[in-house]
Amino acid sequence: MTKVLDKAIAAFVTDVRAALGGQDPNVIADLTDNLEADLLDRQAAEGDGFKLGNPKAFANELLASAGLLSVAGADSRGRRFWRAVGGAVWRFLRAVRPTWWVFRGLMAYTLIWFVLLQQTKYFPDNFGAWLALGVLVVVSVQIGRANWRHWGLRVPLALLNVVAIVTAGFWLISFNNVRDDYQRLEAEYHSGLLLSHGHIVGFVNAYDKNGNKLPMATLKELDGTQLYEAPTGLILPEGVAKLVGMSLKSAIGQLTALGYNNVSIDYEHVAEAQPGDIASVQLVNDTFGNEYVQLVVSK
Amino acid sequence: MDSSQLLKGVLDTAVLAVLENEDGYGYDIVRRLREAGFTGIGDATVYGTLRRLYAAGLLKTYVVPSDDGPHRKYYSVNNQGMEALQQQRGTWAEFATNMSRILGTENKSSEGKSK
Repeated sequence: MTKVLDKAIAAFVTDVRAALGGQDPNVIADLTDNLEADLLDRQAAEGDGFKLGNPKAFANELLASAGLLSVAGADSRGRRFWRAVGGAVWRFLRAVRPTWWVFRGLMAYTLIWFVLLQQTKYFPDNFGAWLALGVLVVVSVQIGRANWRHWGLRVPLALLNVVAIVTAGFWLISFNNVRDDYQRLEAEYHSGLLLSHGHIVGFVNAYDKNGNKLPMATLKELDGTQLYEAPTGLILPEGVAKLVGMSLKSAIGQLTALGYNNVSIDYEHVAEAQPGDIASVQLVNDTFGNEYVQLVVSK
Repeated sequence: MDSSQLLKGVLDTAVLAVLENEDGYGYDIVRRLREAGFTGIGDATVYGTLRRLYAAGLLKTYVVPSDDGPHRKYYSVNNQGMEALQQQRGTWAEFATNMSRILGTENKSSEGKSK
């Protein structure tokens, strides 16, 4: 009987040590080094009434009385770390709550404007609107400062906060889009690029009323402001520029002699050009940056 | 009133007191406390308290080998522990006097109302 209980005591001590696993090894040793001997003594004193109990509860009682449970509990180091992180985040969020109260007022302003007037307003643009925003911010801040404890008030307030958070999501996305559009338009305005309906004009071709392509290099306004200039890549070497008016066969021979091996040929109706002759020549870079000669042959 | 709650507040003093005149090991100290009237005290509570008092520098330990079982870790009160015990004796005496006075006044008050 005693031998069986001795084994049970040894197993109990092992379980207690396991339950203390998150603690420093020296602490575990201090708390359990003499435990087996103490339990054997207790067994001898209590006889048949001896019961070991729950090892985890025993471990928790050891920690609590040793003043360790309140600091660390029986948690692992990982849990303690994340609890500390969670606590730090929570304290930070509490510290920035006033900022949220002000922002919540702005969200109320945005939402009311959107619901009542079907307009998206990010910031006030007149005195009355600023006044309305000011009132809403003050109300929001006062609600935050009141720190209501009554559930009858806290639940509706929590729902309003959720609405404000959702509104904030839309507000931030819309505000971001407007800012991006503004920055893009400003960049395009200062770039000197030719825009058409907000899009950059990459290349311009001119056509006559019959749909025939016209030779063209530069577009200017009446006051001389240049709208479009042929890219410098289109300034042709003299030998290449002279291809216009040649037959296709002669042009190919000339290009081969000049060392141009990449040639693209298009056939188009071109005014003032004989069929079969080269109507225009361009030096173009493909998407990989390789230069090639684009010939337009009149048909 | 639950006496175990009261005991938690004075357990350090009680443990130092039972070790004041005679060193002891874990279960031996539990037994002495129970014989002194603290019958409901848990052994884990005492073992944890011993560790805390040791960590606080109020106790010292030594190991006594045993021929018929595991070695025993004995606890004894050091000088710092003795000073702490004397201080706690004074605190307890004052506390007990005040409580007795209050409880005595309450008794008299109750008697007065019943008249």
